[in-house]
Amino acid sequence: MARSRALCAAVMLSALAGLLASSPSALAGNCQDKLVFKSFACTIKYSDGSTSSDCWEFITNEGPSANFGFFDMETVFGAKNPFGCACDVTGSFKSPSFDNSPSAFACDDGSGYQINGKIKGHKLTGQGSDSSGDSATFSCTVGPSCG
Amino acid sequence: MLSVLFFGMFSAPVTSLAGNCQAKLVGDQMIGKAFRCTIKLSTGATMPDCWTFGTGIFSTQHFALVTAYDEFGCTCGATGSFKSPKFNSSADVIECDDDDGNQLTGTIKGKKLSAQSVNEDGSSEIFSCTPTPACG
Repeated sequence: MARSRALCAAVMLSALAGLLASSPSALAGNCQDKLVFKSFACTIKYSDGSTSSDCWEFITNEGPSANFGFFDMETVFGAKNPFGCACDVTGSFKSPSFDNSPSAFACDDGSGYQINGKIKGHKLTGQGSDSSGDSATFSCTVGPSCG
Repeated sequence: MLSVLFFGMFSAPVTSLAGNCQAKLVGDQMIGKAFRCTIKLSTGATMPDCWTFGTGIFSTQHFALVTAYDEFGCTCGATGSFKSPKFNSSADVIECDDDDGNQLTGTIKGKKLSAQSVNEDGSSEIFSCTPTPACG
């Protein structure tokens, strides 16, 4: 009897531990999980008709954002700073969930350049603009480290 | 009054592409449409705002947005494919940046405008806006 009680308690404890371990944190599964510590080989098309190649490396605990950001190796539009990012808001205006989108995000470099994009599998696509109205579209695939 | 100061005393209006978001928000005027907005911040706060679109400052190529707190240079989103993009051609999507760490992406739906903003520090806001005659 004592043995079966102990076994029952062990099963319950292990079920509880399993539940706790799988409980998602508020931001689990947002876009940041899919982007950080990855590098992307990007092709950028600008509104002036030019095209360039770039490498973007997404990071966390570095750069201006409390969430995540990316280093732009070839400088989009000429941006000089790392971009600070957040995942898009989901839900309604009445009940928004900030920094919650699993795929969409936006970033700003602090000096007039912004991008907004979506990650789908290994591909990253989106567009960007600067405060003077120049704009660009980009298409990126997960690549080797930018270094 | 603020928007007159910002837009009215500067250069001639910038002509918009037919049917793009600028045509809807500004047309060929220097001072375009105005919107009363409610902002919800990721910090949990809610505050009012008023937006005026116009041309002649900041975004020399396209159009600008003056809010109660900031000024942005804007363009319409790109449409088409990556292979063959059409820049500044979206009828509904606006893309703006303020030069100071704040970006904004908005969508026009009928008379209403909704938007999200992400800041360099990772904070964000959402906006819900309805037309108003002017931001006085």
